Amino acid sequence: MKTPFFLTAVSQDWDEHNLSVAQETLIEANNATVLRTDKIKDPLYDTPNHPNIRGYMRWVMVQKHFELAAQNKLKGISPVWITLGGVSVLELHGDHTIVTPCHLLKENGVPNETTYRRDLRIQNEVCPLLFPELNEGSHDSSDNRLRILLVHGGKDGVFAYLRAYTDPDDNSVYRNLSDNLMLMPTMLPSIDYEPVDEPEVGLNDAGQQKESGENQA
Amino acid sequence: MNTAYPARITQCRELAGLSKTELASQLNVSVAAVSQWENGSKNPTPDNLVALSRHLRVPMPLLLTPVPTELSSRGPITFRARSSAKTAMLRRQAESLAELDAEAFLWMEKWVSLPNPSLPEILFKDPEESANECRRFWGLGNRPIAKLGELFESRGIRLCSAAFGDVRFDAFSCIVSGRPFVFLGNEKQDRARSRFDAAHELGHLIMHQHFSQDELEAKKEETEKQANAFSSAFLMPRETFSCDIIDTSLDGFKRIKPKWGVSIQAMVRRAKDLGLLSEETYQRHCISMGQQGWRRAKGEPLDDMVPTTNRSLVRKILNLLSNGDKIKPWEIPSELPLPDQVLESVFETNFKTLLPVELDNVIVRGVFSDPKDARPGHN
Repeated sequence: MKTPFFLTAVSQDWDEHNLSVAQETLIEANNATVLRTDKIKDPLYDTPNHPNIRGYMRWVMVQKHFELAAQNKLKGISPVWITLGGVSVLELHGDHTIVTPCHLLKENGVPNETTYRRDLRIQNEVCPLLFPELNEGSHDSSDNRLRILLVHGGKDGVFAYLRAYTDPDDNSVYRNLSDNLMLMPTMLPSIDYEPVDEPEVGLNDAGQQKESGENQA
Repeated sequence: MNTAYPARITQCRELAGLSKTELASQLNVSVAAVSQWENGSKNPTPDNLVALSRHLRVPMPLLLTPVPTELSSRGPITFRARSSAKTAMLRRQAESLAELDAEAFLWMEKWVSLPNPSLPEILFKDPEESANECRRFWGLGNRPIAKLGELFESRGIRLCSAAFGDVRFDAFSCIVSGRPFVFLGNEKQDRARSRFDAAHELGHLIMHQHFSQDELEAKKEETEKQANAFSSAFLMPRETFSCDIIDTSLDGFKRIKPKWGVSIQAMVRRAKDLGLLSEETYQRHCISMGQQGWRRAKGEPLDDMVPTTNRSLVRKILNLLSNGDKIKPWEIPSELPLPDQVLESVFETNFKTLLPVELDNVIVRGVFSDPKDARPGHN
């Protein structure tokens, strides 16, 4: 079966390397969240609202870690902050896609409705990457990029998917664009390892001494 | 007349894994004769020498060369074998291999300068503390180590293969004349295990070199546990490894296996020791891993994504010699008449493949196990 073009476009922005970085980034953001909201280390966090504090901190940490990842590790992806009234949302801009992280409690959960997310679905509804047959020649938007949510979460952060939500009136309709990133083997050999130099060796002059000794003999 | 050196005969017999009785039987001589050759009270006849070379599969010149005096000081050998049935013989075989490999490195030191040994002096500390101290001493942080082989070699540890002939060791280590050696036996079978073995032996080199061989044997169970704990802590530092244990299912451990380069079994054990897994979950995982065949020959998944314990030192030496004009790599076997299995253990290469095509039909290999292959002047 022929691969749909939108999957090819997605994989051009989000290849194996970038997906691995996304996985690492989510793990790091989760760790940072847990460290910063540890109610044993800081008893002032020990309130009935601790899950809310942790949820807010996760939102902040995920965005910040992805901004750093886009600046340093993700290939071909730039971080762009979009201001929406009182808050800012991080978008990860590639050549063919715009990805926004979104936390879900359950793997098949529905993202909370916001104006921003509804706008993304409206844009996807007429995205030529998703629906080339419906939009041929009719869509003149200067930005035809696919709007993707990187949904992640679950107990202890065990899932993460790239999903394109496509129905402006139903925020539960989506197409999965990746497998569960959190089940991908971690394979970033250069990112997080201790730097180790190769052993240094050099020719010494013993050989010369040996030769001259032999010649004298 | 050329005479064999008694210590060499013993060394080569033990390398071959033969008792005096077995050797005597193969050579059709009395056991007393072999004993006399080995204690120096009698010399083997030229015919006996030829037979010794053939049956022990060692080059004749080796038997006629004394063991270098520099190699007389050797620390205890810490030794792990898959089968304990022939432990005493295997240990002697390991000792002989270590001595001969050390001889090969001693020879190489005439031609090239090698990294100086740099092991921290740690005595009487617990394994966790020793592993942390070793990382600090080597200027490492708490991240995973991908290039374990290069790390060892750059700190002056000589890495050798301990798989030769029909004999397979898990791993062993010792210090010969101040040079630390680690011998690894199962790289091709299981990368994660090989890395754990290497770090295990590092633990022995750092924590147990003040023991005599007898003390080490007496405390074998305790020292093995300590070396395992050292390996675990060295490869999976508490601070950083703990942060990766988010998903405590076996799938969660599987996902981080390539990053940490250790087996899922070792990670599960480490997580339990760090209090990140309950005893109940640990037991459940052990049963599940057993059921999936991960503890048998089938092995664990994703082993091919674990970094290998690469050895780059000898490759660099051979390159250096190739580009120099003093000695060429293919001349090594004739300059250094050691048994084939020793050369393979040290150089991991078939020297015949290093011979330039134009010389292939001209030069007869210097290392031979059969007298008819001998080059003129070598016997």
